[in-house]
Amino acid sequence: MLAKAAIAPLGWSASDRLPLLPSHLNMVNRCEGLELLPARSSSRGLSTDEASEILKRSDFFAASGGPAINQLASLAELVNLPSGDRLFDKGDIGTAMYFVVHGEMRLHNGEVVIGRLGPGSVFGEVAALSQERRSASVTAVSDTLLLKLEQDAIYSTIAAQPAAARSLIEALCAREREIIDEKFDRIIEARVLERELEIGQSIQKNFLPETIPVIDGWTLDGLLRPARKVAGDFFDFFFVPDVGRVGIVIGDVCDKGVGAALFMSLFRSLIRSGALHRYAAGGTVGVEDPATLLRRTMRATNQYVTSTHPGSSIFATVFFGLLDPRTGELVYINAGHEAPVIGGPSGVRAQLSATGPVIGLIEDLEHAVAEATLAPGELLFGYTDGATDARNEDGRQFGEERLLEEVCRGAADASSLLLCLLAALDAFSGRVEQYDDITMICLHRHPDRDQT
Amino acid sequence: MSNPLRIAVAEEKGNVPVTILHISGDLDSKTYTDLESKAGELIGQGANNVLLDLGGITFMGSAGLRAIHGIFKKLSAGGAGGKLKLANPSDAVARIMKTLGFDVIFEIHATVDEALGSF
Repeated sequence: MLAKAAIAPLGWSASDRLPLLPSHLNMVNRCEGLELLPARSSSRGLSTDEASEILKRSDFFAASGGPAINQLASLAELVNLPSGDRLFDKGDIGTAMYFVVHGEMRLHNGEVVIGRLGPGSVFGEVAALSQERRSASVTAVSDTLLLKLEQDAIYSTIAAQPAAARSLIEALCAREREIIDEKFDRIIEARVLERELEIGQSIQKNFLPETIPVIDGWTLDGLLRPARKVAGDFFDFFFVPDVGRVGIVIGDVCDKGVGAALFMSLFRSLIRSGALHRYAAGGTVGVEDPATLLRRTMRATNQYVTSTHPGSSIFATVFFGLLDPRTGELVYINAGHEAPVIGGPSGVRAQLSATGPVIGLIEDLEHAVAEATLAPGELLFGYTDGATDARNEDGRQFGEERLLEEVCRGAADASSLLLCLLAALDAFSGRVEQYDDITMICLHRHPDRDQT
Repeated sequence: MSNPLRIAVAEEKGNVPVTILHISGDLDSKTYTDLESKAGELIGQGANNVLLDLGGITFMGSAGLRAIHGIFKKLSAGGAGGKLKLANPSDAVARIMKTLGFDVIFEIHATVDEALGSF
């Protein structure tokens, strides 16, 4: 990995020239603090005047004054690095700084290129002037000639020449300033990005129902807590006047973060639009029964996503039900979603399992419609796997059993039940960060008055 | 806590040549692209009948199902009547496949031998 390079001292008269490669005499294994080679045979090289000129042009020694420059030039060495050779690796201990005379170097961290160093670039000063390790690797992109100054050369010069010390300190301060400015810019950029995500978050909240339908004899509520700023989960409640029922939706897009959030908005909007505006979604004129409405809406949503976004392999699990609040009758399609449950104080009475596959993947899907009824005093509880998969500090999952046990313990109304469940989840998770979006919905039918 | 994804490829010459991918480890949002690209590479080299042996999968997230569907799409897009079959799911994986309705979308066999015989 280490480069081979010819190195020679610059302590010679102005007429002397140092050789570049190839010189079979001057090939050595390059390492820090290398033995110097006598080399005066070639006509190609660098004079001390030229070396002084390079040092004078660099920010580091520009204000050092003639004597200091001359002293440094006489102590400098030449490093000739063939294209592709590594000068040093990140983490190496280094005691020299470098000035690029000609050629080009690549500053990198593994495969990631951080920057390019062309003629006039100065690098390696931090490791040279301190005990720090190299903060990045440097490799020659083309045949490169470098001027190398060892720590001892620098410190002995600045000890004797205060102007050189001052020049060096000022240059280091200027670099420090650059780094601070860049850091501030990055912080500002990160804030802008953060702000964008916050806007996304607040827009996404509009994709959740702003108001929950108020129905005599029932309480309804839902909650969604994203794992990140934005979520791939969704739920919805809305009146469907055409069939005189309440639409109940809970869904989970198969991913997290921004990508899932975009698809969440799409699925949620298509379902609501299909349910409320049937003529726009292939419905026929005339009276539509709830089962037909469900089938048409899910078919249209699936068809839209599979035909418009065929390459994405993004899918959603969706439970979509239509509740008749007068009778407690519920017709539903469950497209691959965790089965919502109907239960009460005596436990889970029914699981509303999948009636067909997830939507968004396969064209021409036809989901079966199923029916259930909520008796007075019973509740319907739906959730996404973020709730059951929540882990505690020992890595154990909250689990379906524990969740449903908590559900059946019951509460006076839907909202307080959901808050109790969230509190139970948080108590279980402790300090473990939430990994997936958590969404839960609850519909609670009041016990009949004549029964109580 | 997580198990690295490993994919071992085998060729079987039965009624038709079948490329088997024995998958083990966690198939989740971090690893699903590895499976997709490995299968894509094999399909690119002419694999037309692909069998995924799910037996060694220790965790299957929804991203894993995306990968399986991605492979399915690649095979269908080939136009050569490519087939994808799945075999040997653990109880947990079978349960996820059933919940999501993937048992309707894909042909899933209890054992690798049974799946091989069905091609």
